[in-house]
Amino acid sequence: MENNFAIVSEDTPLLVDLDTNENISLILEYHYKYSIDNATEYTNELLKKCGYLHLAQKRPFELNKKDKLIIRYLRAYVSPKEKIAIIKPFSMLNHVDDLSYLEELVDILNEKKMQIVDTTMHKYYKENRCPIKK
Amino acid sequence: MLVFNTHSKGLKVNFLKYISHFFKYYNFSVICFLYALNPKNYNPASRQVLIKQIYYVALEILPVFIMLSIVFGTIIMGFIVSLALQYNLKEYIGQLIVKFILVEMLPFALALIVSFRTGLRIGAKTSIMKVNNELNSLKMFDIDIVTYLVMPKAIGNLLGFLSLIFLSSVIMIISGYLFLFLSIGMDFNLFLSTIISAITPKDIFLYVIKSIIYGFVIVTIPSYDGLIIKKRYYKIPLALSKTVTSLFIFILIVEALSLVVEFL
Repeated sequence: MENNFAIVSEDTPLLVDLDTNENISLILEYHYKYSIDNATEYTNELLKKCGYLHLAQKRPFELNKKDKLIIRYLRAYVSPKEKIAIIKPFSMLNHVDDLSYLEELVDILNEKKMQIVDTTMHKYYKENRCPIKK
Repeated sequence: MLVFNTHSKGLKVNFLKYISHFFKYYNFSVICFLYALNPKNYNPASRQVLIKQIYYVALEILPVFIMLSIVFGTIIMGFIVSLALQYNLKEYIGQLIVKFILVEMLPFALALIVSFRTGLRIGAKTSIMKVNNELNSLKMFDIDIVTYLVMPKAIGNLLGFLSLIFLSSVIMIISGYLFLFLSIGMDFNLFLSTIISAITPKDIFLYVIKSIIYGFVIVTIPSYDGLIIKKRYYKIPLALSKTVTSLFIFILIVEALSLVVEFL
């Protein structure tokens, strides 16, 4: 699964000594050889498009759980992997949250498929069943 | 007798463990060095890490470092020079300054300072990244830990170390001259020619090679210890303690070997 999927899970946290912009830019600089300025600009544009530009200079400890999930998703989005898999999203959030903001991101960005993999029931998932949701 | 035998067996096992650990340090350092020689391993992300490391090692403490070099440089050079004059060893002042201070004492002192400052910092950071699963994040996104985290820091530390040692050498030489000028009114050109005539190719070789080794290994040893710890927070202080001991023993070994080479 790891080969084709960029994984978003509790086991793939953000790097704490980098801010939000740097966490996402790292992927661009390492894999696509973007210069630091170009990577920063691209990331800022991406955050602005998604409505999260205000998080750009914040470090992971300054983000709430929802923001961390979003930034992890965006980091996975810019990676070279074809698809994104979110493993047990509600274990990374307050369990009452829904994931509609992630679905909005998928609609805005519209380039990579997202799959959610979970082993627990949640009212967000239709019929409360263990889902693999597209 | 049974207690002694058990204890001596334990010491033997610990000693062998230490030896095997040093071989692993050596392997890891060689791997990092070989990675550093390949231009394909450099990308904007690793270059950023390299530049940040040069800043942490050399620039962040520059004002304090210059001040300390001036103060301690003056004291030490003054002591050596006055001792040389006291025992009528004026013609050996150049050799004392080059061989004892610049080639032996200065790299040793700087290695200790940089180890405690930078080495511990890198060891703590790498250990915390391991325990926090941040290294797992890098692995998930196909970011090689050696080419992104370790190798650029090692090169950056090496360059920073070389800059600091060169700067402190210049400060020491100027301090030495000031002391000689004030005590016996020595001419600067005479002093400079005394220093230059005392420098041998062996001295230059030892000065440069020790700086390169220290600069590189002060990153690779703490990084290795941080990478291999188990994912438990209580293991971090143990890893740091091991790092400090390993770095100190390594520095002593290099100094001993350098003395052997000096006297060959």
